[in-house]
Amino acid sequence: MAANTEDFVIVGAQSSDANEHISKPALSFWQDAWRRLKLNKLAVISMWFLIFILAFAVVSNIFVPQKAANAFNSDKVGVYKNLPPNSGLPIPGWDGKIKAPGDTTVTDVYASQGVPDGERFILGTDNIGRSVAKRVIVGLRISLLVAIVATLIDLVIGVAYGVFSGWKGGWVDNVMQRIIEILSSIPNLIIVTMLGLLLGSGILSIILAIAMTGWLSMARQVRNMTLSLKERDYVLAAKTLGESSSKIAVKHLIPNMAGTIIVQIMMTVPSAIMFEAVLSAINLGVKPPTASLGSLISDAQAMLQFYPYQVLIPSAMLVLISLAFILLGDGLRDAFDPRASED
Amino acid sequence: MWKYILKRLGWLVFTLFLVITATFFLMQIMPGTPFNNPKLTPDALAQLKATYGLDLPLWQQYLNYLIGAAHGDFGISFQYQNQPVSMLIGQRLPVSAALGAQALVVGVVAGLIMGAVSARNKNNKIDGVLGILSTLGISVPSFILGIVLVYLFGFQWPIFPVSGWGDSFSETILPTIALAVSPAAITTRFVRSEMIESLSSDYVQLAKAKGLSDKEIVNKHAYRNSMIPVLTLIGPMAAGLLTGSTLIEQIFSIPGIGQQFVLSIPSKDFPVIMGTTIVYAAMLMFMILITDILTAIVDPRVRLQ
Repeated sequence: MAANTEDFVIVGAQSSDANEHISKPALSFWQDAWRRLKLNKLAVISMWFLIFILAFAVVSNIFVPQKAANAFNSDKVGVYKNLPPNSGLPIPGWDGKIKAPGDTTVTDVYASQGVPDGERFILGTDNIGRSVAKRVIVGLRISLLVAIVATLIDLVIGVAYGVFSGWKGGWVDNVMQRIIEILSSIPNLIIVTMLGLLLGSGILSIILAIAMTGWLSMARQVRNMTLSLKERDYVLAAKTLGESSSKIAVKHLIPNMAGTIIVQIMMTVPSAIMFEAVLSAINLGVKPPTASLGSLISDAQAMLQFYPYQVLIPSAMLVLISLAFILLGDGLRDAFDPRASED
Repeated sequence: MWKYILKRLGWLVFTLFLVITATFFLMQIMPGTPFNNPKLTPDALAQLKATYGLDLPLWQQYLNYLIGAAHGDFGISFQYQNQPVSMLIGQRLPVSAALGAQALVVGVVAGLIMGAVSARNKNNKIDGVLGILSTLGISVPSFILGIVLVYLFGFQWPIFPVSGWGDSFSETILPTIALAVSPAAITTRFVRSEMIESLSSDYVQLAKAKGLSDKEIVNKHAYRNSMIPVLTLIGPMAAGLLTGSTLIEQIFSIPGIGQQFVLSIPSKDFPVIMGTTIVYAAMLMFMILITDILTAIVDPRVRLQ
């Protein structure tokens, strides 16, 4: 007996077509990653924090020019030097009063040094009477500039080196990987110090010294990605159709490893910020009166016992920025590759 | 296995040769000279140069340096007259090595414990707290941590001494913590993800099916296999410790080679800079070699690759 369609009633849906329809909208790779990233609160907070800091660093050029932060009045150093942070509110530790080591009572430094009434420094002043707040803003700019430019150089060298090595394969790849192996067995500190010594102290030479060590891991990751991507069908198709190698790299390989590259960038920036501070600490950093977060920390370090805020404020800034980059990097890695983090 | 070790040793010697060559020629083109004292007469200058062998042709200087370096002789310091660089380094190396080893052991052991605790408490509060702590540990550079520790436990609450080395154990506590936090954080994150992976692996499923207790599964199967990959981390962590320890030795006035290295930079004491560079590179390469060999011994799967 032949089955008759009229004998059957479709239950639970309007039509069989509706049943087949997948209601979830098709998301592109980036939309999907963004949707997943939004679920990670820490990563989103870090992202907004970093956007704010970057925007602030750019905009602050208008209201805190470098000259204003470097300038000091040599006649009034005695009045303005080493003033503790003063918010103008009666918050202990942030009201312009400080308890010197060995003392039992707190002293109002603003009154005892004869600072005119109504004048206060929200983050205090340094040993020659310059506002710490202004110095930290300028230092932040320099540190970010160094880190971001160094990372961009790493990005260009690392991606070009990695794609070339992986794409060529054979003995070219072998030689290029040996070079990376040799370079990475030399401690970064030494490469940075050597280049710092060789190039002298200027912002550009600091950037170059840092960039020379950072591209290695980028190149290694990009090469591994290239090795696996070049066997994919779409790359083979492009090859068969006669596309040039450089076009395949730019159009097919790099866009498909963008996730890995972005995560790698997020890890490179904080290490560049740290190496800038290390260079400052070993006397190869920016020269005074220019300030970076690292030079602010190492310059004030000798007075840690008496004026801890001069060290701790730039340190806190440096740590917060590194932390934000690492949290965002973690979040992006999970967002780009959900399978890797599915527990 | 022996072939593998020999091959790696050959590479190590070759790489070291390249490092020595590179440092030697880099030092030749470095700007500045330690002999720029205007009081020096040409005669005195010539005599100084003869003392340090700087009057010889470049290729001979290079050859001499290479032969010397192979014997562990790195020339004479510019800054401390008549002091051989190898002696300066020799005095200070044990201090740095002790500090580094102490920090590495403390960091890795703490990381192994925290990583395992984290994995066993996956996605609950303990895991969350440890996750935040380990992310913080990775973000805070060791020298900033050192400064904060000096401030807190040296000045605010003076519990520990903040400078010196070799007089008492308590002196080593703060610098060790400052250096150990980063390896601890890296190990924690790594062990956690390794252990979560092995807890869902087939051999753990089998152990469960055989009716082993939870404790036995974790201790005998999951944890052991999660520990092996940690070995591969020791190389990169040692590199991080090298960087960290130079500044930590400065902060805590520890007479190690890191401090020597930093002091020799402003005085352009090139023989010391070169000697420390080579010793640093050799130490790092040796650490990486040892961990690779250990990994190959512990995990037979690696040897096949």
